[in-house]
Amino acid sequence: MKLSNEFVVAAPIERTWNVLLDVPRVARALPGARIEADSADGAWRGTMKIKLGPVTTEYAGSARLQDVDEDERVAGFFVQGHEARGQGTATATITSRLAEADGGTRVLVETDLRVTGRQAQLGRGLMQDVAGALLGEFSARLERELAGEPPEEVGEAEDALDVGGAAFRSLGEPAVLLALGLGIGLALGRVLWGRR
Amino acid sequence: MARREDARLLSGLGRYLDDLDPPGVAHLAFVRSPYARARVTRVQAPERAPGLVAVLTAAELEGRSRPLPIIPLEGAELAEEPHPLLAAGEVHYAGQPVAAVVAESRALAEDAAELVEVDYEPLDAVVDARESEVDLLRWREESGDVAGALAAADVVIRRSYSLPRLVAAPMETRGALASYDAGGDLLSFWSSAQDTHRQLAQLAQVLDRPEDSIHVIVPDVGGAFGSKGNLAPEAAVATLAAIDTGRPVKWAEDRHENFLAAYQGRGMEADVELALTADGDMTALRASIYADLGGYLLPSTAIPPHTTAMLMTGCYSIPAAEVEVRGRRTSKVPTGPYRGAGRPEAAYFIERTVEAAARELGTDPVELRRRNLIRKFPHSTPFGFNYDSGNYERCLDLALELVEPGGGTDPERLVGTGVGMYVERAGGRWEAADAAIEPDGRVRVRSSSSPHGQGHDTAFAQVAAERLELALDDVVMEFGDSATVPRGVGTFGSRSMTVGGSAVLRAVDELKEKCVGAAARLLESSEEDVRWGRDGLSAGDGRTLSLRELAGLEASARFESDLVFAAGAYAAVVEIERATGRLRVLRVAAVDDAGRIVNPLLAEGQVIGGTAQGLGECLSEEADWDEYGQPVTASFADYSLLTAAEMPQLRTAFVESPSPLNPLGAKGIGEGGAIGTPAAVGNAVADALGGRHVDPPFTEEKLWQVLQEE
Repeated sequence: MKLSNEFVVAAPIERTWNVLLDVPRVARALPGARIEADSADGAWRGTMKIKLGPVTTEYAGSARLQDVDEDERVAGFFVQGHEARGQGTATATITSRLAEADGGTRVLVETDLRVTGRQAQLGRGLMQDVAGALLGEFSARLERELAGEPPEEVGEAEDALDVGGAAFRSLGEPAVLLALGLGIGLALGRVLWGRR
Repeated sequence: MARREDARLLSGLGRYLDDLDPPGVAHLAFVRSPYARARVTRVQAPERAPGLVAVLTAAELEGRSRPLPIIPLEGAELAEEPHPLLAAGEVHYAGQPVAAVVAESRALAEDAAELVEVDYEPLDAVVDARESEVDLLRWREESGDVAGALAAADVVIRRSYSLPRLVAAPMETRGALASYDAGGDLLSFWSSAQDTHRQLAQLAQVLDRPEDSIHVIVPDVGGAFGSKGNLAPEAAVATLAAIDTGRPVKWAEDRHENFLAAYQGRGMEADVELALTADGDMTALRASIYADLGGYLLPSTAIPPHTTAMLMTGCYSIPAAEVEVRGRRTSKVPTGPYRGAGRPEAAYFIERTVEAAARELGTDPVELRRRNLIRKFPHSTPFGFNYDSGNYERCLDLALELVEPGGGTDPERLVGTGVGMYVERAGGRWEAADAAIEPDGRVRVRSSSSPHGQGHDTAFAQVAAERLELALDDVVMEFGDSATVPRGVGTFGSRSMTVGGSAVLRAVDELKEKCVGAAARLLESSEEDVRWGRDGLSAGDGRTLSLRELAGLEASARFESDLVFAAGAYAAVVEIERATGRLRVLRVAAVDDAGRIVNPLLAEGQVIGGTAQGLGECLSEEADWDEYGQPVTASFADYSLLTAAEMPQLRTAFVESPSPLNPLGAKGIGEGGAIGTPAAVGNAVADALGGRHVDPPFTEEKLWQVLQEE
């Protein structure tokens, strides 16, 4: 499945680029994401917790930088992960491009997502919507990060991407599972995106 | 006559598989492959988990079970690729069982299943049957000079069609309960299945156990539509788990599992060539059929494409025909019989081609059909089917009369009318029945043919009661227990009334004869003078005997016959909204010739249900996979069944051409609606679109795209 998303952050391109390659900072912007301090052979390990209504699922995975083009401000990553509990897996090839936009930076993300298990099989029709919600939260946090505002203090245990509440109740379980699938592909990919 | 079983079933008193909870029962859940195709390199069971009883992998089953058998098919080459109970080495579809977990509850079993670690090396999935390089089935038949007729033809119509895979979606999903008595070496097996016979035969083969050491019980079953005819691999695993743990083990799948792992229907493509003279005489038919069989051959996976091939000449007298079937291996759950099971595909392929021919020749498609319809019976087809009886033209006339072709003046809506005719292979082989007089004078009939929603309890009792001149309630029917009912073949292929009903009729005839004989002795009369009546038997001198006094008398009968051939004509009027491509089916006329009808209400119910499923196939149903072989229609959110709101006006009628092959004159009505509807609606859509081609499901998106080509 190919997904395309974009958002604009109110920061110049140079700064955005540097932040996006600085993993700890990116991880802070991603709700529910944690990464390990070091990489092994260029692969970065991390986890991501996504909460949809009453269901919280954790994913574990790694990411590898495929190409980074400083001049074009394009970076590609190969990300893979699996449910910490369960049989589902996800892999994603994520290509991100930065462009200047009205004093800020436009971030265009193209994701080729390959999800297996329940997440792939249920609720596929909602994937784009959940991607939007995910990126909305991410870009808001990233913007605060770029503006130098301190991140909201959240305990590790509580921090999770929460796509719950009304959305969950109206969309039902398929949406939950789908968001989980998406989470790993997009969000975890994002976490590891900047790390090098 | 209304279904007498409904009061019980509709008020929640039915006992379905998951209602069975014997003391000490443990529950089974499966670890299923998340990949469509992969090598399994390691399966690691958790050492402990809450409520965990046992974990079974292919290694534990090694040497004590066999894969499911493959039913041989005459004239076909079948690959030796049977479905394993649990995957060893490779998996061939997402959802294939890899390990089984037994725990104290289904929830705990599912939790423990999440802890089983499986290492996979993903392999490239094969999603498209035409692109697959592996044949699981090959079949080819030629009769007459096809090449010569094609070369000499004034017109040759060439069309390609594709019918998506469909999910049977019974209201009750699959399930089984197994319990093993080691002392008596008796395995008891309850299964949500179409019949006991195939469950028993296949389980005996899988476990390599004598059949008399297995007791199969089929409780109330909430539908199957073909998808519960074969033994489920998971059900076989439940029996091994019961033997291992010494506890009753139940597997009751959830809807997601049913979408992933219950075998599906259709999934066929065809390239069809029809040769005609300028006058419209059909001279030859040639077809190549590609069937998307999935990862393995289940026992009856090969049957639907073979049926399609055999019925490709439909209800027409075509002297020469050649059909080749390639049943391809793909990385999907296997296919198998689903309501119609090859017949809807055949009807769709030939009927759409006939309408295309009419368009090409500039003639009325109805007239083109009339010109070529088979009118003399019995009729032997090029491939050797013997159509026993029929009146195809009468079906066609009635369908057109009922549907009221055309209509609509709104320029924003395109209206089309289409016809779809069909011939259905039904019946065949044998069934048996026992009949006995009970101490209270009622007649108990044990039938080898068992119901899973069809209404056997009413229809078969009706056959017996009418013959014995008894009230319906004086006949008690018994089904679905291998320890008490006689052996038979099974409930499938619209064969219950034709074969099973005929066996019931024979059994009660036999019983009646025995009663008369006994009465003659007891009343000291000659058999000729004994009269059978509503109130019992009477002798010439006026002395009478009630059935109660003949309690204990019993009779058995077996009925066997060649295949019978039901037929029908369906017609549909549709309307397509030009701006959006939205299709509305306005009217459907369903005319079926199922020979003599025993119970018109039940027969019409079968037609309505089959038509609804056929319309679902036309409007919304399509099982789909992504390019990696992941099923993306694995819930009712993504796989849309027809709802009452989409049901058009449906008019039904029966033509009754009795079959000479059974005493009831019956044929088969269970599948007609599902067979005739897609062909009729497909042709109506083509008519509305001026002949442009679209295959089902006729979604707004597809129709809108075609409309943009104007």
